[in-house]
Amino acid sequence: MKTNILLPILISLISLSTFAQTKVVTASIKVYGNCSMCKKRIETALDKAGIKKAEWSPKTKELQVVYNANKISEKQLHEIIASVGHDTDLVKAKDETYASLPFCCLYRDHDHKADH
Amino acid sequence: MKNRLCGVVVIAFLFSSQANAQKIMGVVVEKDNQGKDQPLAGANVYWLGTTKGATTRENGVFLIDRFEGSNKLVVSFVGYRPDTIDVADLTNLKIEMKSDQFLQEVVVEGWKPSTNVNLASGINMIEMNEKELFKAACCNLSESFETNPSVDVAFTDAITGTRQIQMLGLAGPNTMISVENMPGVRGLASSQGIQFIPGTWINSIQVTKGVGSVVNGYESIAGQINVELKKPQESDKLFVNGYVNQTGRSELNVIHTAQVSKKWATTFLVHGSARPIETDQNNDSFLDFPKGNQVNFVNRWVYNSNKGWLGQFSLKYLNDYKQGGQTGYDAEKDRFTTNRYGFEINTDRYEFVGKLGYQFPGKPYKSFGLQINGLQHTHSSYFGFNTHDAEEQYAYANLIYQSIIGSTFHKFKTGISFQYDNYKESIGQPQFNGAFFRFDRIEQVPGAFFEYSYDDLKKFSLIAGIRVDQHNLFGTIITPRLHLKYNPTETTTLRASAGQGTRVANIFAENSGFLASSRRLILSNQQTNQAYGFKPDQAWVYGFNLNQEFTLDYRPGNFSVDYYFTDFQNQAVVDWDASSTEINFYALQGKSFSHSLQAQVDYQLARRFDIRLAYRWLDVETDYAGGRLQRPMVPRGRAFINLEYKTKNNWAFDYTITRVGEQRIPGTSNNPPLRQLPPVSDPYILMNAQVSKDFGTRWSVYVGIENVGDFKLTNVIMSAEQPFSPHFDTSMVWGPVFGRLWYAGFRYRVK
Repeated sequence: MKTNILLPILISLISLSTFAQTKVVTASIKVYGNCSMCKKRIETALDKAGIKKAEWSPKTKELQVVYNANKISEKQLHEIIASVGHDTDLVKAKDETYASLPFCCLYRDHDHKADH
Repeated sequence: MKNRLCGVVVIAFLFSSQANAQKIMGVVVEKDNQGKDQPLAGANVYWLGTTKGATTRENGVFLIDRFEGSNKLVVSFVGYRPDTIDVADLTNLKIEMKSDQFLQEVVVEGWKPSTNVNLASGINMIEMNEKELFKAACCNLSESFETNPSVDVAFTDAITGTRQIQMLGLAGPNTMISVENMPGVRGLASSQGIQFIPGTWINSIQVTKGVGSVVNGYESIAGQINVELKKPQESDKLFVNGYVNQTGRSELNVIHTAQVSKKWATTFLVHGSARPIETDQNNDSFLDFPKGNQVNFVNRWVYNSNKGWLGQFSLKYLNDYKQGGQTGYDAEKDRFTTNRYGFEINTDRYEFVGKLGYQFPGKPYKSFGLQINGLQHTHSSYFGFNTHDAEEQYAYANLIYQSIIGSTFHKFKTGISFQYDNYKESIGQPQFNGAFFRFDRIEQVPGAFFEYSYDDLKKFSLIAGIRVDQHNLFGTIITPRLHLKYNPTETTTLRASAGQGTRVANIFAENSGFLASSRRLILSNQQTNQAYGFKPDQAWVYGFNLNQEFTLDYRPGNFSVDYYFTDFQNQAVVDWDASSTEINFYALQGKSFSHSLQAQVDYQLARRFDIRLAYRWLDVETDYAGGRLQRPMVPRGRAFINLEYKTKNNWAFDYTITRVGEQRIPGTSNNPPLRQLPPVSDPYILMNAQVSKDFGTRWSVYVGIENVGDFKLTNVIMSAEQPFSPHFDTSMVWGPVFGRLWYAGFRYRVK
């Protein structure tokens, strides 16, 4: 085990010089939602350590996210988004969470029932 | 299916979403009178023939377990026709309920903002929204520019608390302050007027440096500040704001909006404030702020025919009373005596504003608008033995037609205007058998304007305007103005502007500080028999502006630098220097100009943490009778830092630091040695801090400290112990007279 002492030091030295440890990833994730309230909810949920930027467009439904892949995984991003009621193509929000979203945020396709 | 990706992970997630498949979710809505879906809360949803059911929530949503005995779901709500739905293979429903009564035809179009005369984007304009204004929660328009490095606010004297804005180093009235693009703070109101617009009434402010559009008149020279008040179509149903500070200044603002009918909506804006307590923090025996109270009321109405006609009108009333001077001054006993020095200012103002617009159906680019404004402004005041009474009747009408030439790349606005301004003004010492002057004038100014704008919607835009006004006292005024904008890249904007501005200076109202002194008033080198004897101030203004957006470490930022040059052809020069016991007004002979250079960086340092840095350098010089000098009380340099931090749970912290550079102090060399001031003031630092917290969507509470560093001028009043002596002067103010000041307040809103 003692032979390994050098290794962490070496790694940290390398990382200091190359910033290998901060693996910044830019990703685009489709997140379903409607309005500016959704935007606020999604972006606030992603206001977490390890996420440098999160910007969601109500128009394109695309979330531009910049994060440190060593601190958070893309899967976790999907889970965070779903946990506040917004579906992604990977993770669906729980019905109970979705059902308590404000009216303007009800983004799922509700089958239109024609009136009488 | 939205699930396109596959793999072990996805299957696991699918499993979790399938777990709820035995439930049915739906949303129950009704159409409002604008054809939009609105949720229906409290509707009953149950399986046909059973009592198994659910109730819709606030957002209209229900979740109900599937029931083996039935596929038919009944939705009912009092006052609505019940609905039965077959939900065999449906899991997400939307049910629209219809009222029992026969509904009238629905109106499809919503409320549109009124036909504001839009300043096209080609003009360099800074928009300050409600959030920005909230950074400095106190109290009226004069305090709204704390976070805006382009606009300075300076005190005119040490006792009345009157503030004046400065842009490009030029005194307030050189900036045209409009309210919803109608003449706002002008005429007699130019000295006190910015304190007559409560901060919480303001929806947004647009600040334009240099000349503005010709559509709104010839008056702007240094810039234009347009204030948009809260409107019936945008405001909260109810808004209440209370404020109190350590000197006892307290305020209450109430804004109430109601949709009266499909076509009419109204907003009431009510403001009451008082400062009942005497405060003398710098111990010079003079109150630092006057005592007083203000009642301010606006009722505005908006009309939308939904067939192209839009209209709005407002009724406004204001009464403002201020009393100050030496501590213990009792107006009833001490007025016009040498017992104690005191002053009173009483302002009474009635105003009507109307706008009517017509938008040609199917032609959104084609419209006409009529703006009318009428007001009666009464100002009565005295300072020691100096009396200043004035009355103004003002009427204004502006008819604007806008359309296109060939295509929407080429637009134009044209129209005619008429301005009537009747002043009755007297100044002097009638109680003392001293000199007494009357200055009455009636201005009648018909005018016409044409403004062409070109916008290729990509890189280049141009606005070229000209207006011609026929002034009954001062002849023809021709006002050309040009704005250019060019975007070499998507993130870079270059702007240039050039144009002329003209205005009749109300020299007493604008320089009211001298009234609170023993300075003798001298008018010389007069050019006409009209008004005060001076032709209108007239200047050419040239401006250049570069704006660069950038992204650094994934966060957005903005850098801008601008330069403005103002060159006066004519000016009523205000000379505080010729003698320390006189104030001289005379027509400019020679040059008077201002150079302003400003750089600003806005950047998001971290998420929710914004910084704004700015530096401005000014060179404002005038050829006085005694030679060319820097304009007094104008800081050569000003550095500015604003920090703003918000937490995730709605705390907001705001900190502003301003370093005000050296200012030239008017000459006092002919005073006795003990009554002389240094020629240049020391630089100083002012800091303001504010913390606010939102509780839910309705309540927010704020606490702040103005002048954290407690910097104040202590013996700023010359001869404070002998206010009736010839050297008494309160106007030599180059910094705050009041130190650290805390305040607190709340806001409550119902949407």
